[in-house]
Amino acid sequence: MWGEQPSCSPHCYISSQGTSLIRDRWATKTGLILALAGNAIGLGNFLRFPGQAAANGGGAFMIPYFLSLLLIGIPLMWAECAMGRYGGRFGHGHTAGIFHRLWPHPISKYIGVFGIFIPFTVALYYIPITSWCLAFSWFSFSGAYEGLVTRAEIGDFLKAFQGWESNAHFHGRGALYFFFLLTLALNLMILTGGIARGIERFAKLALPALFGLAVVLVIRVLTLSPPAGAGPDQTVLSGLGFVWNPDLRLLGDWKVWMSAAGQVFFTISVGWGIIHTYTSYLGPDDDVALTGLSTVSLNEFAEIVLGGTIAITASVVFFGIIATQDIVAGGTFDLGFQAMAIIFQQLPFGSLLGGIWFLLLFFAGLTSAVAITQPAVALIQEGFGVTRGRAVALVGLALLTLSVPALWWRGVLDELDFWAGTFALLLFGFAEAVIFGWIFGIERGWREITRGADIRVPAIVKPVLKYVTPVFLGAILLGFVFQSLGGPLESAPWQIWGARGLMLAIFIGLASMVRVALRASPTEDA
Amino acid sequence: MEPHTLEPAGWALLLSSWLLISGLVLFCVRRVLESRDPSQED
Repeated sequence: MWGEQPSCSPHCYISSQGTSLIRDRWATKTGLILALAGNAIGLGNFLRFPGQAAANGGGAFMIPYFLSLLLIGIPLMWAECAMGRYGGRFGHGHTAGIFHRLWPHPISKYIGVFGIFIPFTVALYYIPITSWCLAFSWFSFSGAYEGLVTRAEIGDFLKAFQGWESNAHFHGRGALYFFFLLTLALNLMILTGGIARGIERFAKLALPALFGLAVVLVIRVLTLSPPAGAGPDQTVLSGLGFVWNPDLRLLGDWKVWMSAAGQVFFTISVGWGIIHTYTSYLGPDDDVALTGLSTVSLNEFAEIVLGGTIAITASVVFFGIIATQDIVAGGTFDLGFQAMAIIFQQLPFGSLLGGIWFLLLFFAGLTSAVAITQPAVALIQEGFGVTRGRAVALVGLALLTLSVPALWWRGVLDELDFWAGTFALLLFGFAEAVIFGWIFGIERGWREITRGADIRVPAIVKPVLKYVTPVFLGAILLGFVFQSLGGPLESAPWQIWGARGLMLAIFIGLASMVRVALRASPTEDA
Repeated sequence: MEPHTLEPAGWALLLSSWLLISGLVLFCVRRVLESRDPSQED
């Protein structure tokens, strides 16, 4: 409500013990933008995007891509930033509390639970994957996989490292756990520092490093020479042509439009609850419009200019177009961990370049890992009035314990990614678009987006947010349901059912915590 | 038909996408440098 005011200043919140606690704040706008961009820029920018473009019409893919960016990406980014800042006025740093303020209905906070459930569940496998990037960076620098020059050989190395088989490279999961614990510890250390002294300081170091490493790799890839005996297709221009040459006939295929919309939705990391959490640490009149647009533009630069140039181009130069199509069809791990590890070994200073490539992926992963851990920390810290250090320790312990199935059972990672990292994400994105545009109300939403704005937000965004964004997201969700939901519901081994049970238990656990936290909050009925 | 090189239409889409995004980044950087930081006062 416009008349609603929190029971203490916007800088504080009331703990369950009734004491007034100071909320963290961002120190600088640049720091917030870099933290939000760090959240958005992930492995998908460098591995998923070029494959999606190549498989969906090449350069023609960019037409629905940019349209989706204008109709879904940027409007939803602004809406999430506005929702987060609004909830922050009431001391809420998680979507359960924020949604309860947007829509004072008993069910709203349980819809908001998705914004804590999704990032926490994804963290169970995303932090391990991030740790693999760190491990492979070390393996490249130290020459541990030197001489493994076929995809099968590198594949065996990766499988042994992951503990799926024992061979000459690794026995057991010792190395896997070493790098996982190191990555988790780094993540928790950054979070313990808080918003300005932890996340913001880290983002100010990691993002420039990430862009610097990526630019080094782009320059190296654009100056690649074909290997000895290469075919006429194995050139840099052929690689760029593989990604960018347009096949305009595919614009008539609705799947291409859905792929573009899905890619935009996933790449800017809307629908996670993280942007709400980060922007909740803003003051009530701080800008969100320029912040949101800057975040999107940095993410798109990383995706289109840098991500669209490195991996696929290098793969075409070294393996040719037919083999690259096969690698892309094999998924992001085939491209990122196998193909790139082989390619860099063929170059002068290959260990160094390979190490830089995996370090780049590690920085992209760690900035996102920090972001997906923060909503759960915010729930415990603000909902139960405990110190940040204790909240971080509790979440860390939960991540350490609950990530065991993802590390030990085959298929669990994909199962968590399917339900939490894809389906729940689309569901939550659609729900928040409806709540913001129709329940909170587009007029109030518009005032929230434009209040304190450092740029003029075009008036067309208002009807787009009310009508176009929910319809577009609803179409993606329906397309996903019809296309992908049938198979996974069929019979599955016990590990998969275990993963489903784990997700259900996490959701119920978080919902129970939200119920208690919001009931205890004196601002509940403000 | 497999692409053998970057065709003119591919060049056009690549360059226009890069210019569009780079222009957006520069616009945002300039506006961020001119703008104020988040308020710290109570």
